[in-house]
Amino acid sequence: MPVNCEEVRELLPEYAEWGPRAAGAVEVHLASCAECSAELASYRGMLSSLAEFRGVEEDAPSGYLERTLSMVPGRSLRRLPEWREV
Amino acid sequence: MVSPDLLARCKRGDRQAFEELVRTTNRRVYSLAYRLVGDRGDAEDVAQEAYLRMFRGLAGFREEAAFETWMYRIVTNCAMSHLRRRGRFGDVFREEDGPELPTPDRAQEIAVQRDDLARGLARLPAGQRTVLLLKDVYGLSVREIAQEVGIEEGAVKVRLHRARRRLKEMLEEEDRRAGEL
Repeated sequence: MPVNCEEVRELLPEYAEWGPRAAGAVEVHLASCAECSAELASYRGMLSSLAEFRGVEEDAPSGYLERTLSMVPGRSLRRLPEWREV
Repeated sequence: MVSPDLLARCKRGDRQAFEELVRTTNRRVYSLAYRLVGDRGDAEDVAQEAYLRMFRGLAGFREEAAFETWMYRIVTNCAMSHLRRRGRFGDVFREEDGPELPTPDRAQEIAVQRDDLARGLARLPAGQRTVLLLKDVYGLSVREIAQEVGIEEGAVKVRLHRARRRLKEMLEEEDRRAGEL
């Protein structure tokens, strides 16, 4: 079934995720519509940038690492019931 | 990256291994906590609670290849519990979008700068930002997000759709403004 630009644009936020797709009306439209293809490229560029954003680290408060390390369990915790040897 | 050997030592209750785990992951844990709760002090509380749960849960953890996902799920769960305790969990359910940005009149490539992305994320409604962060930045599945945030999978998908559209519009708007300068 043929689809128009409006219908395709509505699908692009999900369609932009990479992965195998069955050939269909959306692909046919994208192959012949430069504007919708550019929209898809924009979404994919944004998703790539978002994936890279995972590596951007926030500045933690002073002493955060030391305070967190002080919570590390000592050997006694090994005897608690939830700690099972595997 | 957390190695299988380090995880195995943690499972045996090796204190040094726990410390190494904290040193390796603390910035990532804190960053996600901060992005979910939006306050530096609260983020530290969330991160520490997440570590306590990790220390207790590691012995029973079997899927070493999926450690990061497991870690991010725990942080998310702790962050949502924290927001509930603070009476701020409604922010995650709220859906108002604020002022709508104009729809771009032409397709254009986005020259995404990191600062633009951070600003755009900050301007999203909390509910949209939460699912976008967890799905597109931290790689959790729709099902995992639904479980940890406590909303239906359908609601996750709707928010993700809106968040991607909105963020793209904001980034294009930034791009257009930069081009006018």
